[in-house]
Order: sequence, then structure tokens, then C-alpha cells
Amino acid sequence: MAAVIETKNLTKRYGNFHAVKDLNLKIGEGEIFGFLGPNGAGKTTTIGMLIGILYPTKGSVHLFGRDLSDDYFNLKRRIGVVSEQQYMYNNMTAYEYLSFFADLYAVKNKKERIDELLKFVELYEFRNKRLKEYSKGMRQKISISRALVHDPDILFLDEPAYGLDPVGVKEVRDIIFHQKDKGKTIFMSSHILSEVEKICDEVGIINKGILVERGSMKQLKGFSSGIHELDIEVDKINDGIITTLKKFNFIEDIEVDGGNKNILKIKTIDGDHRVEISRCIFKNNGTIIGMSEKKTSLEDAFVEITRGGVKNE
Amino acid sequence: MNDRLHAVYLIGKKDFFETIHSLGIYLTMTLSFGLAAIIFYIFASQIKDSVLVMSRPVDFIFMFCVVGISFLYLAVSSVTSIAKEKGDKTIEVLFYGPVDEISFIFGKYAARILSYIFILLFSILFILFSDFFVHLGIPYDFVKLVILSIFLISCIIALGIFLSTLTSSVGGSIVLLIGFFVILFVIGIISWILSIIPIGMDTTIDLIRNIVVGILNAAKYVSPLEYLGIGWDAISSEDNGKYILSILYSGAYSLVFLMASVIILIKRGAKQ
Repeated sequence: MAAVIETKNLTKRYGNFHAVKDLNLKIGEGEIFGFLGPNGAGKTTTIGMLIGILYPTKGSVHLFGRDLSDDYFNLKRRIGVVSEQQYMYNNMTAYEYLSFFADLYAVKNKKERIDELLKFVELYEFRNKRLKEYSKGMRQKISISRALVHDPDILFLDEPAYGLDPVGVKEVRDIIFHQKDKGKTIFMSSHILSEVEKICDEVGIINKGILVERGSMKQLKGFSSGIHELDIEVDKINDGIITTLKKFNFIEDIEVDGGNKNILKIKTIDGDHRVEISRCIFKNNGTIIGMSEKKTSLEDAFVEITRGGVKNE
Repeated sequence: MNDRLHAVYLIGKKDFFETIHSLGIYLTMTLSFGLAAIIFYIFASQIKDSVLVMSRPVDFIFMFCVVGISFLYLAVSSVTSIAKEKGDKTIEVLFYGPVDEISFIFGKYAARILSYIFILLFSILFILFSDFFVHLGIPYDFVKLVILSIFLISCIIALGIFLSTLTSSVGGSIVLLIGFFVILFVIGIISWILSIIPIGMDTTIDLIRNIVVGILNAAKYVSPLEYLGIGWDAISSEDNGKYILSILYSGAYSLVFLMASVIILIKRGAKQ
């Protein structure tokens, strides 16, 4: 798959502080890429450089295989950006605002396109209302409409669901999926990890300006040290079960739940060992009543990766 | 249309329409026309009593009431233009799209030049209308003065835009503008004080005088008021060479400050 976004040793330094350091990214066409990191990790700075509003100290950004500075105006027409905060000309109406940007991007059939977008984000009836009178959720929808007005090939979203209520978050998610269905590439940073988990194909985690991990959602979850946590309810736990289980190399830890004497809490490593554990309990005259496995979420992986320090440092 | 020109046109159009839909420009015109009407009345009385000593009274009214007041209004408008966009961070959103530093700065500049032309059109109509009753007489080279005034106003717009790129708040930009003219004024005062001290009294004072005179000479080139003076002299003395030179000076001055604004914006980035 051809890379539509590519960075090579992308670096932004403020004095001696590296906001972003030697960032190498390749994002393919039609991909939804989630860019994660703690506050101040360098996400917004990276997006700023990708969209050309910040100049890198070192390194390069290529969009569609071309350096932004080589074909500035054409490349800018192929990207759409939604920022964390909605910065708008508040005295304009929604229609005037979108009309101005449609002109800037030289959109053909401007009126039809704006009407289509306003209907899509369900703000058509408010099109002649001034933006200063809009709620935060409405403003975010207008920001998204502005970013989509020229039907861009890449959409950069910096915390698109920031400060939105659950309905707003879902609406933003639906818009993103709609764009994905149209084959658009989406680069998204977000603090709402559950949203990233639902939306993104690939995720990159940046910490202290350095990309510490990158991979598919499955790969990142697998990063989480490979420990599986099992809660097993047994009709009667005896010493034989515990002694035999402790002999397995893949058992990292085993304990009986202090409150409920029938529950075994087991931590295993190196993959899925539920079958071996079940057989062992059965052989030692125990009957399994229930078994649950704690799933590793993106949040677990994120916390572990960012707490674990910088892998490539 | 060229991409950059397209962006200049749209930014200029947006700002110009914002200006003509705001109160400021109409207050400026009201003040300008009110003052002009008073001066017209005074001059008309003097003509009646045959005591008018001023040559070219219409030129004076135009320069004092129209150019002078527009100068102040457009100085404030220019110096706040980019600072406001930076403060509101709307500059960032513009730069998400096909807008670069050159198109942004020149778009802002174009909007303010258009605003002045808007003021100018109404002012000329007002002057022609007033003179129809008062008969002060429109000088044959009044058109030259009108054209020159666009270049002179261009200087303050370019300077204002330049100062505006240095700060991110509207208040800060106005302080910067006032500070700029206060510094020029203080240099002028010190220069005057030194000029009344006889040369050769004290070597230190002579040295200070030379330094201040040097600064004053350099300040001449950064003060748009200097170009206003040169232009006015050229018209008064009917010196065509000086007139063309004055236009060239003003054009070069504007271009230098606009390009300096572009460089600063590139250095500081659209993202504040």
C-alpha cells in the first residue's frame, strides 16, 4: 500500500527541548491511524508539522509522496484538519463560514456541497445563525464540516471528540467511519482510548517526543507484557490443585481469593493455557464452575507502554 | 487564478467586508467629514471677509481631515489585524488550507488599502459636494494628491501589519504602535534640545548630539510620517520629480515592511 503520509526523522526542537524527535511514520491510503500519547508528548506538534503550520527543525514530511514545500497549495487542498479547539470567525454565520472556506479551496457547486454537509451534521436549519451562538458540540460539527468541505483525501483530527457529550462523540465516530467508507485516510489523535480502539486500524504511541510503539490494535494489546489474568471458580479448592498448578512454568502467580474461598486468581505468561489449567484442576478432583479472563484493553497497553519509558531511547 | 493571488483575494475580500460591516470605518468617516465641514465653514467665512491666507485650502482639508484621520484609523486597524487572528487562533485555521505567509500578509494589506479607497471615494464626493457651495476651488492637481495619499496610507498599513506580527494580543499590538511613535517623538524632542545647545561647548554633548542625529536620520526612514511630509512638500512645491520619488519611497517602504512581516510570520509560525 502506498504511503500517503510519510515522515523521515521529523524533529521539532524549542531551544534544548525536543518536542518531537526523529519521528518516522508511514501511513497507507485508506488507513485510520490513531496517534496516542500523554499530555505534552508531542502529538499536536507532530500534527502541526504534518499539516504545515509548524516548520520542522529537522527531517521531512511527505504527503502523497511529495514534500509539502514543493507543492504547497495543491497538497493543502488535499487535506482537511479538525483541531482540538474550535477557532472560528464568530461573527459569521455557519453558511458564511463554510462558504469562505469553500471559496478558499475552490470548491465547485459550493452551495450544494455546503447544504449537503450541513444536512449531514444536522445543522442545516441553523445555517444562518452566527457561530458565536453555537454550542460546543455544534461548533465541533461546523469544524468538521469545514474540514470536509473540499472532500479531502487525508483528514487530520486532533482530539476531535474533546469536550463532547456521548452523543457528540458517537456522531463524530460516525462521520469518521463515513470517511473511511469513502476510502479516505485519517490521522487522529485522541485521549479517548475507547474511541481509538473502536475506530483505528493502526496506532502509534508517542512519549516525550519519541514514537515508542506502533502497530495494529492487536499487536499493541499483545505488547502488554503477555500476562493473562484468569479468575476460576472451582467447587472446592484443595492443596493438590494449587501444588500441581504451581509446577507449571507458565504460571506466574496463583492465589485464592481472600473473600471467596472458591475462586482461584491465576496469572499466566506465554499465551493461552486455559486447557492445561482446566485439566489440572479436573485431575485433582476439582470441578470448574466458571472461568473469566481479564481482557487487555488499549488503555492497559497505553499505560504500560508510556509508564515503561521510551523503548527506543 | 494563481493559488497565492486567489488566497490574497479571498482574505482581502473577507477582511474588507468585515470592515465595511463594522462601526469603526463609519465613525472615522463621520469624524473626518465633521471636521472637514467645520474647516470648510471657517475658510468660507474667511473668503467672505477676504482674509483667507492659505493657498490650496482644499488640499489642506483633504490631508488633515481625510488622510490624517484615516491614517490613525488604519494604523489601529492594521496593527490589530494579525494580532487578533493570532489571539483568536483563527490564523491557524486559515493556514490549514491553501494559505501561506505571503498570501496572508498581502491579503490583510489589500483589505486595508481597499478600506482606505472606500473612505477616499466618499471623502472625494463630500469634498466636491462641499466645494460646490463654498467655492474654495479644487486645485488642478488634486488627483495627484489623492493618488499620493494611497501610497502614504500604504506606509502606515505596512508598518501596522509589521508591528502586528510581533505580538499575539490586540492590546499588546496597540501598545507597540503607541510605543513606536513615542520613541520617534522622544528622539525628536532630544534632537531639538540638542540643537539649541551651541556646538563645541562639551565633547560629550557633541558626541551625544551626533549619535542622536544619526538615530534621527535612520528613524526618518522607519517613520511613515516622514513620507507624508515628503509627499506634501512635493505637491506644495509642484515638484513632479519629488512627487514620483515620494511614491517610489512609499512603495518601497511598504514592500520592505510587508516582506519583513512575512519573514517574522515564517519564523514564528502560524501556530502560536
